[in-house]
Amino acid sequence: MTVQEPVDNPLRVGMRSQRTPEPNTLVIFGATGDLTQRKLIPALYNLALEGLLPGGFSVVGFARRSKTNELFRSEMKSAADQHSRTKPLQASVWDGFASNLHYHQSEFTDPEGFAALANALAKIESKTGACNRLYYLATPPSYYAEIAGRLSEAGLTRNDTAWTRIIVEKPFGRDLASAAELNRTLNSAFDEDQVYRIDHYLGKETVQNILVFRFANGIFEPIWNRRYIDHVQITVAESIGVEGRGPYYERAGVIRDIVQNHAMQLLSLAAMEPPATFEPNAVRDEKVKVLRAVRPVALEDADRFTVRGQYGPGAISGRKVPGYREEERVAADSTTETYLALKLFIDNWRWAGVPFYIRSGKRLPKPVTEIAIVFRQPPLSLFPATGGSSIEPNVLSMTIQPDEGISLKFGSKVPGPQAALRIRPVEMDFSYGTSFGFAAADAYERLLLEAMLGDSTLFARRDEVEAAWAFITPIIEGWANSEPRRFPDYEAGTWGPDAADEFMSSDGRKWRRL
Amino acid sequence: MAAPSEYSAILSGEARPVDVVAIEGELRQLWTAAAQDAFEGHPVVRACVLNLVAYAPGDDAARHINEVLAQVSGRHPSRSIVIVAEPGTGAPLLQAAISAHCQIAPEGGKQVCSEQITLRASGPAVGELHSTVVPLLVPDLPVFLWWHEEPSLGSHLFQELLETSDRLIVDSADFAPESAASSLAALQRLAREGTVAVSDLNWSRLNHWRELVAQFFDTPPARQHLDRLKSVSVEVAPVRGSEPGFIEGLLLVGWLASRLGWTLEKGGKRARDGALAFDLRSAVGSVHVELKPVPGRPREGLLSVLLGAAGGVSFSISRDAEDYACVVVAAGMRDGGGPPRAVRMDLPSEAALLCEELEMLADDSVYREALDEAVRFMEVGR
Ligand SMILES: NC(=O)c1ccc[n+]([C@@H]2O[C@H](COP(=O)([O-])OP(=O)(O)OC[C@H]3O[C@@H](n4cnc5c(N)ncnc54)[C@H](OP(=O)(O)O)[C@@H]3O)[C@@H](O)[C@H]2O)c1
Repeated sequence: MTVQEPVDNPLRVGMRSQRTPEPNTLVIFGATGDLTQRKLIPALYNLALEGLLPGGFSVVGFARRSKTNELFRSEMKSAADQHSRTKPLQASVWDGFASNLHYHQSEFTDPEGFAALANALAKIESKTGACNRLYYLATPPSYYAEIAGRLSEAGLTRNDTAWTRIIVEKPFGRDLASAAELNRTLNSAFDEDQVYRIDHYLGKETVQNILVFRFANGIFEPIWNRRYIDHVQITVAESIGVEGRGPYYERAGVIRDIVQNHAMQLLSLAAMEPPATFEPNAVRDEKVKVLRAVRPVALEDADRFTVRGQYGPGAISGRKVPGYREEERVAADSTTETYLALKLFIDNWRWAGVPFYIRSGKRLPKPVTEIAIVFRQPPLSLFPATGGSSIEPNVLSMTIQPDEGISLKFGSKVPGPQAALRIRPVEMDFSYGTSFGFAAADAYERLLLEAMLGDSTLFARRDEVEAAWAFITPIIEGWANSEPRRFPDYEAGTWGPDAADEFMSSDGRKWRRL
Repeated sequence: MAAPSEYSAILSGEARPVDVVAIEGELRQLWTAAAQDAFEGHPVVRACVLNLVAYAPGDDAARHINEVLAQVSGRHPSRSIVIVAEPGTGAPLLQAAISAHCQIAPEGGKQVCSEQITLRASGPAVGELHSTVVPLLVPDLPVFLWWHEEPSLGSHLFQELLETSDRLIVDSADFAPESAASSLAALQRLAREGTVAVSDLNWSRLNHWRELVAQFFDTPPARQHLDRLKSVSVEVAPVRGSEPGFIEGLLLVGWLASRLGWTLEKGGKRARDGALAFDLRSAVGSVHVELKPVPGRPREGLLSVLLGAAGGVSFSISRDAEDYACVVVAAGMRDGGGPPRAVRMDLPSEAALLCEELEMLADDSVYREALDEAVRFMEVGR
């Protein structure tokens, strides 16, 4: 495959965005599904609105039910109406955008449907003059391999004069073997540099900011290591339940839904070595290195390094909510975990001996995602503890949700006579959500655009996904061998099971109160 | 010293007169009081990422600046110092007031507040104002000087404030027709000297236009036409008064000329119906430029840009007659380019433009070079 070098456009000098994507056609597999309606179409509309899509951009929606272009367009319009970040829809922008929306009806398993897709694409491309193609797998994961194979069979995976790329949604595999198998199938149809594995966390502004924060501010890098850091806490808390996606969650659990992908991404960004350049592969090389340095958990140790939990009935923000087992299409005796606390070590020079604690769960008191770096105590306590309180450690926290920002907690003397020296933690806060009050672009907007531009920095590479699964899989297998937990074990609207607190206190540490 | 309740009035936007020498002390009191009673249930965070010194010639301008600052503070928490000057009038007088702009974070979280100091001076006191302003700047943060008038190089206050500023912000759309050329040239001189970076809000108005123009040439089939452009035609609406906003149009053409290496060929002239026309020379031939005022449109800024290239190829961006918040973008090439499409392009508010400039710290050499050309066009156009 030859990808043209970006055009040398002298008008781009000094401009914020360095280019727009080349004209292309996006084929969405599963175009009548929930993801397409809630995320993809609204994101595309907003890109069109901002003028970020190239002229000659079209969408082909591929799904099973039969419908006309007109019906498809009007369904997509109500989806955009309901879910767009900007409202109301701008009529002329929508109309222009919608005139390039097409529907293609076929089964994913039907070779003729794919031959017909090739024709449909050729017809569109003869009008727009653009043969670049982006496929988006917004389908149940069981079809990923099937679709890739059919595309390959129909000769739709490569083109001599234009680029062809494929975006793959989560979940990417159920364990190391299935992820590796899926990678093999995808890579037999597409080269690795054509494959864009989406993790929408990486599309968030603050997640990208972790790297800028670490590597653009000289004061942090020297202390970002075992000499100064006592431990790291990564929290991905959700207050929502399973939101009607019971069958999916039953098979996933929090470990597959959040920890294997999002939390491991946050871990690798917080712990990676500085990349030589900010090129996609240089950044991902470092992320993979750190994931590979995570000390494996032996099957029989799975319960020693983790705490699982499942929520029972409770209340969120004053509203009663059912327990997990009472959710729609969830087994009444389900053993799926909705909470996980996990301890891991990274065996490299920088992190040797520093524990990383990850916790994630559903129906926790509030939605918050953060990475907290907890620094060591001063080697010698100069100041006597007073009033029973010891000096609190310095904590640097990077919040990703909901208040994007960074804060540093340090000790300060409470004003008063020297004899009654009292030290109180003070929080120094920088929230860029408010400091630079942007209506930040949605993660899907950002990622769709990056994929069209051919920048894969914010997508997971094959070895990255496999390295994360290599760590996670033995834990899942270890659990299968151990005694079933007594679920439910935490009330909805609380910070998880008591065992999670004991897990920390037995290490002489505690979870941050968020 | 004021009671806490008086401070909560300030946090809701009221100005409180204070003694000039006690400004810092009063501000400290304000934030202490605010921290104590978590104003209206939202914890108050004082934040500051820059100093913004705004110069208002008179009360009307000051009111306007206040409104703009209230909108800007959410995005760029700052210490703003508004100078209301009436140099001509009466006895020397210097008064100060403090106020705050607070924004509640969308998720009902913290309340972020910016502080504002207003200094009002008249008569000879105006000339000495800088000595009050300078000590009030928050140390080590960038200083932006927003000069809400044509830059007056002769003014002592302007020169003194410029010395302590990192960036000067003006709006050339406000330049009066008779002085526009000399003011633009003055701006060019400042930008060249390089002691202070220069921003023109009229240039920021072009950001989206420039983005869309550049977009045309991002693809290989279109890129070749960029070297073969033969005409540039820009329709401009009156900016505020009746005079067409030629400066914005000239900056756009100046930008094209400086990026593409076009030079001025023949003397320009006012063509029929008040249009401005001149020729430029590109590497392959001449480029005819025309700026046409379109009367009767009460809107701001550019209305359309049409680029013509050899072989009947054209690229156009024009405000949608039906949906004024949008422009229609069309590329007429034989080898495609797709059907015309609509893109949203709101008329940017002054606050939005100011926000963009406050993000910039470095010198903008692309603007500087466009300005050089615009000044040249202006001279031949006279
Ligand atoms: N929904 C979310 O919030 C979300 C978030 C993150 C990731 N994801 C991932 O995104 C993917 C899609 O999720 P979703 O919730 O959008 O799924 P969904 O609502 O179940 O949609 C499935 C889509 O696939 C089509 N389809 C299914 N089987 C087909 C077949 N044999 N032939 C042709 N079309 C077929 C359906 O078309 P018909 O309607 O015509 O049957 C429908 O358009 C999943 O991998 C999911 O894990 C979803």
